[in-house]
Amino acid sequence: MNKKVLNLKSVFGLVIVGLCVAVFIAAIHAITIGTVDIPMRKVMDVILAKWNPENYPAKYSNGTLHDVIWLIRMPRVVLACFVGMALAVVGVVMQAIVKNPLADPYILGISSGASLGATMAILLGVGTIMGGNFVGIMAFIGAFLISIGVLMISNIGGKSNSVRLLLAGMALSSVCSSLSSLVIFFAKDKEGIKSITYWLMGSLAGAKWSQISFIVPFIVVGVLFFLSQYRTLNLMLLGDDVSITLGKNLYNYRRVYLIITSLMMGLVVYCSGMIGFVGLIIPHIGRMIFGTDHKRLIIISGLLGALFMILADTLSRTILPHTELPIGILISAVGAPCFIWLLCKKSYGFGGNKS
Amino acid sequence: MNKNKILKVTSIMLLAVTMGMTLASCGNKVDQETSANTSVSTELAEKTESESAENSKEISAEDSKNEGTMTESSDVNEEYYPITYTTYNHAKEAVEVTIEKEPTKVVAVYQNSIETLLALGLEDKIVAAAGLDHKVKPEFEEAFSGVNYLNDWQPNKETVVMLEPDFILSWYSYFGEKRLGEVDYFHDNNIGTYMALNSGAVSPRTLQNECDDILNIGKIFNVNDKAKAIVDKIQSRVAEVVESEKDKEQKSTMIIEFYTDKISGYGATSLGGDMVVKLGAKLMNPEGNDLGVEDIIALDPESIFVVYYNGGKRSDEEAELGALNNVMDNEALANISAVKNKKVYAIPLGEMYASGVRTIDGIERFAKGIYE
Repeated sequence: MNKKVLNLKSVFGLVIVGLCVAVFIAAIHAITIGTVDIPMRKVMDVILAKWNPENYPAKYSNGTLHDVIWLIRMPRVVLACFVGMALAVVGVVMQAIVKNPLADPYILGISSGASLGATMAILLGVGTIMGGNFVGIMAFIGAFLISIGVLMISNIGGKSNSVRLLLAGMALSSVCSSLSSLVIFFAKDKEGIKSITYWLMGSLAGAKWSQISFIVPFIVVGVLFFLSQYRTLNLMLLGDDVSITLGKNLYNYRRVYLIITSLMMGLVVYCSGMIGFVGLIIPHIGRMIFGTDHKRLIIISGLLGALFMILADTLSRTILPHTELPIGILISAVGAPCFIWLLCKKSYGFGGNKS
Repeated sequence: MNKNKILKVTSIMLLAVTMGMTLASCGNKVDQETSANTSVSTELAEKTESESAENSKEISAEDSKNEGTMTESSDVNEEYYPITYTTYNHAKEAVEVTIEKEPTKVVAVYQNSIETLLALGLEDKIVAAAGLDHKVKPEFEEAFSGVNYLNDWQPNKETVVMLEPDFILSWYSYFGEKRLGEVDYFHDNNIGTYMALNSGAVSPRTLQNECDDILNIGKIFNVNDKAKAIVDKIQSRVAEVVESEKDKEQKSTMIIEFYTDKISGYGATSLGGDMVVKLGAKLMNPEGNDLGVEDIIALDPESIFVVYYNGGKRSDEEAELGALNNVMDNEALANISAVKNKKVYAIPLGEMYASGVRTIDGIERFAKGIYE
């Protein structure tokens, strides 16, 4: 029995190391391909020239090659990595908070709040003073405010629980989407409506280092925080009654978790729009591999999310010549069949025993 | 066992923290570098300038007969450039851009950008074009045949940067965060940008904006005369129509577009609406709201223009007929004056929405429909 447990642990360790290596290789590979394939050597030279420019010819520290690698492709790959990680981890946490395997990171008001913010920014010009990325900023504000609103409403007239949260989320989502429709109806701006549709499809294009250095610390701290909370997350799957019996009231935990996930998701929305499906399927794939213990699940989902996102983004910008297929479309098209295959192939359970 | 766990968790945490720190420091480095970039880009520009000077020397040596004219024109160029023009950024703020020399490697995206360049005889300046909704106008086909046309979508930033252009001509939306990104990057690298005014940069959309676009592009490429000729043609045609209808009763009209689930109206702030108003007609739905069939009956304009968009799946005739039938086959509309007098016309979207050099076609079509 002991031997078996140890084996599982070492297998887990190996898988983690394997995934880390895979993420790294995928990232480097992603930088080399694009409109023009750049040999690995040149990519390495451009990156190394960042640290000691005097050892490399000037073309590695400026010019087209430098701009494409350092200002376009690299920030994009790094952003993909962390957005994927955040989406997968928040997906895991959200599924535990509302105790529902269908939950995704956007379920509690994030998506509708972000749409409303983006719609107002694009069609009414709200927030243009905040500079070029005002759409992203408005989406962040919308997503964050609405998800906090969901939390508050679920607490009115009784303490919130997973069902009240879901219902409050549904209610506020409907309010927001009708407001968005209202704005669209009165704006009469075809080009604007097209921009909204495009924006809502999600994309990692336009990644910048300044953006990344701002959001990555939040995402890393958020992921580490939830990693430390695996016991509570495990309890959440058993429900409020069981956990109170076991001496833990989930009420406050849920509130704190929701504030942190809202912040993380707001930032993800800010820099990549809405990329669905990753936050829903990656946690499930994680469970299929190593079961439902959140200690393992969060690590494995985070890494899988990062890997999946890097691969999907690479595909999305190389599948059509000179242009990009919105990543949201690609992820659903590729992800759904894989997910169904996994579902059919392995016995699967969500909390408790495998069924 | 427990110790193991703790060790593991801490090591993972440490790993992640170091990752985060490295990234944060990367970010700082880039900030320092962007300031260095500006000087670098001026260097680059100097280099390309000297290169192009060499090129022109070679050409003049080959073609000794033209030598005189060559030097003459380059003299003119030296006097003409640098020029400063105004365009917009994605926050819709006006930006002044100065270009040091005539752009020779232009990326043009979308129908009106490409056609305006062709109309000004600048096809050999286009390094890449993309995003046509339909074929270029027949008179430009020959000039267009030599252009490097990518495909019908918008090229991504990487493609554009790799082309090393010195000018980008497109729409407001194309300079969005998720497409090419903010115009500053290009301006810092000595790449000029221009976005069509009616593509979302300014509001309301007007006929004058289309004329200004053509004049501005003429200014940027030192072909002011050609640009002025195109604009004069538009403006004199409008003046002519207004003059001939001066003493007559004002005609009423309306521009609508049929969707599967609604009828959309083009109001006074749309380009089509502004064209109609400038031609002296009365626009019956200046607010440009969505309309019901009942609204059309109540407003009862003397003529109706039905907008259609033909993405190339159907022939123009089919698309036009399809648009017209939305009105003509609707029994509820059988008794409005426009239908009874057979004054229902189809108009392609491209002639009254960011129309560029097709503006004149839109004007003609409106003038003919409203007054004949």
